[in-house]
Amino acid sequence: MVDPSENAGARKARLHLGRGLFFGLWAVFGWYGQFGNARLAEDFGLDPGPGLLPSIVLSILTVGALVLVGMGLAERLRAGPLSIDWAAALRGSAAPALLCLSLAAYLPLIRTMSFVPATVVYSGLLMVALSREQFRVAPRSTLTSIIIGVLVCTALTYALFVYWIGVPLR
Amino acid sequence: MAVFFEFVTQFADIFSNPYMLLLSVVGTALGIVFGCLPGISSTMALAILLPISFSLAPSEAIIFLMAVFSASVFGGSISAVLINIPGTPGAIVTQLDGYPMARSGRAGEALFYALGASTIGGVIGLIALILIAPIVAGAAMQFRSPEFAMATVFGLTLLAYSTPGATFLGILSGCIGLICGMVGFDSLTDVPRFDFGSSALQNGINLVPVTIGLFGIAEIIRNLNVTSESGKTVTRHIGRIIPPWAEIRRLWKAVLRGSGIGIAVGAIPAAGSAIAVAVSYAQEQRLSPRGKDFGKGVPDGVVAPEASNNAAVGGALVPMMTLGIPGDTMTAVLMGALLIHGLRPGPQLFVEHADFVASVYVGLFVAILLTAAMGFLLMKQFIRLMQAPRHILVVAIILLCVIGSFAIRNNVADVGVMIAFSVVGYVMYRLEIPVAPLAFGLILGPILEENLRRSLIVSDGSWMVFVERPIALAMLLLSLAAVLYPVFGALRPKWAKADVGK
Repeated sequence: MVDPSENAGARKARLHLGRGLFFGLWAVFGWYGQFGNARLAEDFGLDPGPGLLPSIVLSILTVGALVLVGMGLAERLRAGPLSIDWAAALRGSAAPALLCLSLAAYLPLIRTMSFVPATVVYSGLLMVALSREQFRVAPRSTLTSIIIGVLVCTALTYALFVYWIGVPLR
Repeated sequence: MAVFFEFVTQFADIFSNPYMLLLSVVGTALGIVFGCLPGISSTMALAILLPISFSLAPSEAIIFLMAVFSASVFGGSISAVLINIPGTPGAIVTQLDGYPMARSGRAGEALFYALGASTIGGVIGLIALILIAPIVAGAAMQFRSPEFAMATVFGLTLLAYSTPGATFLGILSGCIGLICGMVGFDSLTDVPRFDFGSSALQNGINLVPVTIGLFGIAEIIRNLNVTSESGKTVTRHIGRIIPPWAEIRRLWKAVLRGSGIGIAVGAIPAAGSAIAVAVSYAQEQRLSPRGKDFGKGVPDGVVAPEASNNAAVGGALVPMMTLGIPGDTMTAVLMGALLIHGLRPGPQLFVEHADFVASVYVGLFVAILLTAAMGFLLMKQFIRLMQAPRHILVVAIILLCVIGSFAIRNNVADVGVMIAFSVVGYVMYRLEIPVAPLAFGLILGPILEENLRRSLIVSDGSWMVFVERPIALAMLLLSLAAVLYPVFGALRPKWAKADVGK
């Protein structure tokens, strides 16, 4: 993901710029929400109104983001060009992205198939994906552990949430 | 005396109510199991089990959560001793002497020392909580909106220290939490903020999916490619469990010292158990006659941090219960649970819900007793559980996270929030930005805003209200000092260099 030969200065520059961008994005969204809402600028009498604290916090966030970007640029000038292996970064992000997508797909799956079959399918697929290396080494014992795991997970979540708490997921 | 009476009444209530007792037993078992699994911190355990408490009455919920909280702290030491990986941050130094003891065939003894010290430390921490909390709450009764606003600012500033060396980033992370806390209808004017026209956002961002995302799924994403932990073998033969009495008796001073340090450090907002155990270990190494053997498997190096770790639980509850400022991430999640149940921590809690405060004390006491009993009787079973395949544990946690997020309000949007904050948490981890202040900001934001605006309404819009009141001013100055100290700390070497150059 990150070039192992990356020197300390380049790493610092990359982190500062990334952090500046991260906080800057939050600030941009915040200001967009703040200025896009005319009611926040109304007069509320003695109450300073609902726009006061957001303005203070967003100002701190904006200044902080700018400071970080400035620090990143200064560090970059000192350390030279950044060496980011974008292909490796993309490869490294694939598993987290897939996991997040699968999380988003689980509830629609329950709506389509009902709780027990959906949980069996979802947990089974996840366990297979997570234990693919063990599958190559010991397929039979891994398969057994997956079957037991699926049964335990399904029974546990059904008993806890559907039966005990009464979450409408049948 | 009234506190003692309430304590005894609540204690009798729990032991005469099989359901409450069952909740405490289940919470303790889950706490030890989650605590001993590497990669699951006490905060994560609390966050993913929080939705289960929603269907319970407030006193039942707190009994369950206190059991998870207290037991997971001990659970962390099991993996520290057996596989040299701390299950929780508070067990980070237990492994220094616990693991060498296990390697020399004394794992059972190391776990016995950890359990005994945890129990005594936990009880001492609880006694301190019972004695100190009413005094602090009594003093805080004098607080009005300006003092509460500045106490929240002070708490937020200190909480930004939760990751040493990253105070600036911690403050900015806290700002994101504050902004998230403002999403939805404003409580004083009913004006919607930061909803971007979405009805899902108009109800605000719920704390639970955020904490589940930040501390649950984000941790799983982080560990997706980590195989080293699963590759470590668990010490199966733990040897003798009960050490000789003479050896046990020798350690009482270490336990007392560790407990004292745990209470003091735990009560400082943001200090947390990891700092408490580090201070305690260093202090014990200095004072113990076996100090030079620390790191080679000395029981003193296990009992002092373990007592400190568990005493810090009581210490961390003091600012949370009395001032509404969480002492660490675990108490932040606990505070979120109280808010969800309509109970706002602070001095008024001691006046209006004295029976509930007693439930917290009793819940912690019962959890300590049950942790000792279950830890001793089921030690070998917990060790066996640690050998369960990692893929089963990960999937079980994922299911708990997703269904738990949905179960809060039976709302799919909460699952969306959980996924979004999983990504945010992971990005923050990659950028080495502390995550905990975001959760603190989300919890403390609404309290800060309400008191800030009330103060300004009462003072006709004059900001001098925060300067004219001595307690508010003191906390404002302390907050400024806390913010400026790292800046001067960073500049000092440069100034020194410039002086040398001249």
